[in-house]
Amino acid sequence: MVIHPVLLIAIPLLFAFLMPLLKRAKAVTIIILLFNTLLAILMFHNVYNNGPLYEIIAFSPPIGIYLYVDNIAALLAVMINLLAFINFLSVEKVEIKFAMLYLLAVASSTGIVITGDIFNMFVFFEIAAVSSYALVAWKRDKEALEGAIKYMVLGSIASVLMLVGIAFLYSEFRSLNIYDIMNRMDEGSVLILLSFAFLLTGIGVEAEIFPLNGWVPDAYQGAAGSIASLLSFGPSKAGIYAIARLLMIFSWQQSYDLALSVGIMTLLIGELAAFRQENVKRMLAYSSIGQMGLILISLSMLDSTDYAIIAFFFLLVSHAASKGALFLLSERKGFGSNASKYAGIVSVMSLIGMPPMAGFWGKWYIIMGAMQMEAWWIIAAIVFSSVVEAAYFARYLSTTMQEEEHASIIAAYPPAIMATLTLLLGILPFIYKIATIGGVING
Amino acid sequence: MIWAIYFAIASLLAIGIYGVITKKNLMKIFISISIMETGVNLMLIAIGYIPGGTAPIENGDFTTYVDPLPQALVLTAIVIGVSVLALALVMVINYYEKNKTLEYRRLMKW
Amino acid sequence: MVEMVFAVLIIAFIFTLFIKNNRVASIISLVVSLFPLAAFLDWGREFGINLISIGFENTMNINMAGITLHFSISPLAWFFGIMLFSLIPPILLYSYSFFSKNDGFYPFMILLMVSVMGILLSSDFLSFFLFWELMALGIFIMICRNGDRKAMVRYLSYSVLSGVLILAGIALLYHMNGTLLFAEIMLKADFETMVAITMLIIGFAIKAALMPLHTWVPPVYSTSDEPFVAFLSGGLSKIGYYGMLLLLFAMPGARVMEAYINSSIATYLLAIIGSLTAFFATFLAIFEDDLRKLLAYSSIAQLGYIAVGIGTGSSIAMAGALFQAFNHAFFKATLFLAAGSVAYRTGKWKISELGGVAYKMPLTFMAALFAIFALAAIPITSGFAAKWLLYEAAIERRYVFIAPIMLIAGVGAFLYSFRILYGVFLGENRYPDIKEAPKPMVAGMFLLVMPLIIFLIFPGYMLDMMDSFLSSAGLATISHSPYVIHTTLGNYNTIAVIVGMMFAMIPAFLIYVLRKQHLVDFEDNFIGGEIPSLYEHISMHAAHNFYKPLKDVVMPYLEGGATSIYSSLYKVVEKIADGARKIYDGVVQDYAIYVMLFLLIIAGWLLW
Repeated sequence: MVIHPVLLIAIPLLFAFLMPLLKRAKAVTIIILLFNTLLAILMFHNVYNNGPLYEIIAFSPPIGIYLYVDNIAALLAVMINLLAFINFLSVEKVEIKFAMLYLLAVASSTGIVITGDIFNMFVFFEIAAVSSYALVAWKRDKEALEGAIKYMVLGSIASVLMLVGIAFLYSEFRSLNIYDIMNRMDEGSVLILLSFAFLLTGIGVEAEIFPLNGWVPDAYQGAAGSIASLLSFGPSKAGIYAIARLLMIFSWQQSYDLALSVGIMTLLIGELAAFRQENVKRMLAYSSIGQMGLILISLSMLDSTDYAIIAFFFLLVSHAASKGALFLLSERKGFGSNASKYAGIVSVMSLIGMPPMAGFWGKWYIIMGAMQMEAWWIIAAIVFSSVVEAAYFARYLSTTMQEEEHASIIAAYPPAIMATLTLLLGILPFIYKIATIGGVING
Repeated sequence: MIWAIYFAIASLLAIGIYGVITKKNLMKIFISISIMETGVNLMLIAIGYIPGGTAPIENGDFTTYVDPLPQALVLTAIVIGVSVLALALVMVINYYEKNKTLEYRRLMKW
Repeated sequence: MVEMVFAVLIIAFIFTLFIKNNRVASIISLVVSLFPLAAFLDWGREFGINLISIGFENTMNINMAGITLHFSISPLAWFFGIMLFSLIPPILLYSYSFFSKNDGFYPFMILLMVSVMGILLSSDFLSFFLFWELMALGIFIMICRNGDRKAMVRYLSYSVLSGVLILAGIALLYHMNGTLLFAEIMLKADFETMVAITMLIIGFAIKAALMPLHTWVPPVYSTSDEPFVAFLSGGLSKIGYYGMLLLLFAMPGARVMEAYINSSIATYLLAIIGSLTAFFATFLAIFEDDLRKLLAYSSIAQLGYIAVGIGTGSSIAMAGALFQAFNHAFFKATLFLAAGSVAYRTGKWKISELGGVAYKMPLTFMAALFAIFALAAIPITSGFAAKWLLYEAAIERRYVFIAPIMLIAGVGAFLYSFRILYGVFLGENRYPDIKEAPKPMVAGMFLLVMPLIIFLIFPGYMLDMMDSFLSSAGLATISHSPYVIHTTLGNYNTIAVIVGMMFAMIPAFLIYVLRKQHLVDFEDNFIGGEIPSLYEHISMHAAHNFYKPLKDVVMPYLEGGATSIYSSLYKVVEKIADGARKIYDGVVQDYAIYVMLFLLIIAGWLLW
């Protein structure tokens, strides 16, 4: 059976615009997300058995839309859709417009992951961004509006910079296909270097890397829990995956060094900023920044060690699921029920890197990789930031475990399911094999 | 000739950035962002331009025509720009209703 | 059959998670805890000790698509396994009455058993580290149950630091050897190996609470539930020393650097740190008023002795260290449980608020008394033999600095244990209405005291348990019979010791019985003629200002120390963290400037 990856994007887009005609927004959205998850799993099964999947729509490249799905892209598509599905269960009152925006954000995040065309990536980034702006402002109070406006200003600047980068790239190669460009990439003229700088800055705003992430704490603080959760596993993870593809195109030592230094700075600044934060959502947002730095560090090692890709996979999935769960939990003051306590502890422990959670394998492989590179700076940064992270997460747990507030089933179980995913991934760590066989990122 | 266009692009981008960085009024910030977008669109067109080329419409009797792809990209970019701007204006209106001012004031920090 | 033990434990873990009834959960976990104990007793056959014979397999490999976990039993692991797993059933018996409902104690106790079993049986660093972190997680969840912020923050920070350091050390060893198997790793005497070993030892020392890294211990011990603290202090803190022994002696590759270790200043440093830990922690314990904190400092001090033994590294020292570890496991667990029983009946933790408990809780007092004898190394229990071996090792090596310090710390141990006896159990009877602790609690405490008495009479059996480790580590075994230990400096004969004690005690007993005595009112005794009404009630307590002259002399030197260094470090980090937060000043124009600057900088870097 041939799975068309384009369906992953087309179906939610179609239904997002049909939503006003269909009255039952929540049921329709849940069915679509579930369907998409199954489709992504089937697609992954297909890719795993038959190798990377290409799909060309309308014209032949470089003009047509070009989709490229390898193992890790398929797994990320599964992850985004599955988490979006679980996350959507926790939304109590669904308006039609909300469901539309939600589907748009999910579809475009999936699109960023599976596209093989850099302009397409830009378009999906913009769709993701526009729907995220609206979702952040959804509560319509002062904080939400302010967060959304900050996100919007920075996002618009980022889109301009990204477009400039694409223009430079196009003027050099007369092609927009990522693999076409990659094969023809050499040491690079001024224009290519500039296009890398512009693209990294543009995508970096979405991928929350320092110092482009000014919007992150404000937008996450202003947004509702389920939206912050969506942002943390959807667009931002797609953004960091786009940076992975970017590094793959511009695979010079220089760009890996750049990613390493930016990653270390992001890690340290994010964790330190979270250290003294009193507002839970803001603390989690800063912690997200730190984790993004860690993921970027793992990307910067792609060229030097085989462990990097495994570490990347585990860190990314662990962070997506755990932070998703924690943002959902941040809606209420304390954990309240046993399911929430379980979700909170498992997620925090996965972020800190304790077994048997997925984060453990991320920590294990990133340090193994750093040691193989004999990169002492990475080790020192990770040691310091882990301790800081442990301190503020312990503080967080000590307050949330105490507060007793009854949690409804709809609020308690989605985070618990997400936590269970991290737990399962940690107990069955050989899943990484599946992710790394064959194409990996540089297929 | 082509240098004049690149100069125009550079100045549009610079004006836009200047506006975003210095202005406190939200309307002005978003106008500046629009100016930047215009600059980028112009840039895409300029990249696709081939001296002496005609419009890429098939009529059988031309030899040189400008690259059609950037023009398609620009169309997409314009649409995106418009949608972002529309959303921005909605938010500015909401912001004005909540705060009774268009001046940017920070509520959340640190 | 390793699989079966693990499977039983994991099933019991999941099962007990959903049981609310305390007694059912206690009985289930008690039964389950006998499985690993039986397995370890059975594995004694491997090392010439036939206790029971069931025929458990003792190796297991789990292979999961590229990740293989190797498990097998080693002599060192067997010793620690016997020690830790015989500690657990009495503690679970004790908790049968101690808790009123099962809110997570039993399942995570079982999880800790799984992790301890995994650590001890692992024969490669991946499974070792996996279960090491699992143990850290289990301890953290136990601390979470009481939710004290200071304890949680300190424990988790230290534990993560220890985990990352150990991981970095393992990664470095792997990078140099290309293998994670204990059997294949070679420790060479080069710089990188030294870095790896240092990182690993610092990581282990955090769990073992060596002195500059001990500050997590007092808050954790003083806020968690007693049965858990008994296991944490008695059992889990030894796992840190298990790691050190594994790294420095038990791994086959460690013998390559034996000569290097014996001549190196590094291990001497470990011994010095151990003795200083024993010294300072003892003084902190002497002046502590909170019973649990006192016991926490006492734990730190007693664990310091083990480090002295490991650092000294001769076979007598090793025997002393392992003996001390075994004794400490049992007497400290007993003391924490006794403190728990006292608090169970009185609800008080401060020594200054307790007193005279022994009149109503004689059995608890008896158990605590034996434990205190072992703690103070008085030759009615096996505590004496362990300390004796350690002193002898230090003297044999001519450690002129370490031996006197240990001796002073030993006297200090007597001072604070006297304070527990007098302040908590004897003195004015302040709680005339309490009852003896429930029977399961008393039974648990007495079960824990048993080994102390057995190994007093037969210290040779303890050496039997160590022999195969000593010979596998390339150290000479110590010749012994069940009653006598033969060493280069002379023989330790338990019969002689017991007879000697008898001769000392019979006259004392006779004097106590035959002397003409009359009872005086407690307050008469204390006040000594002054007018009592001038004093607050609290100052009348026997334990009030107990060692005031000593305190006046010593305390100025104890202030400052590790805690103040850490708090000033913490302040520095706070300042930096505040600086980092100030970057996000909430002004969107600034953020736009950051974006532009970032673009300029990376473009400049790339073009340049």
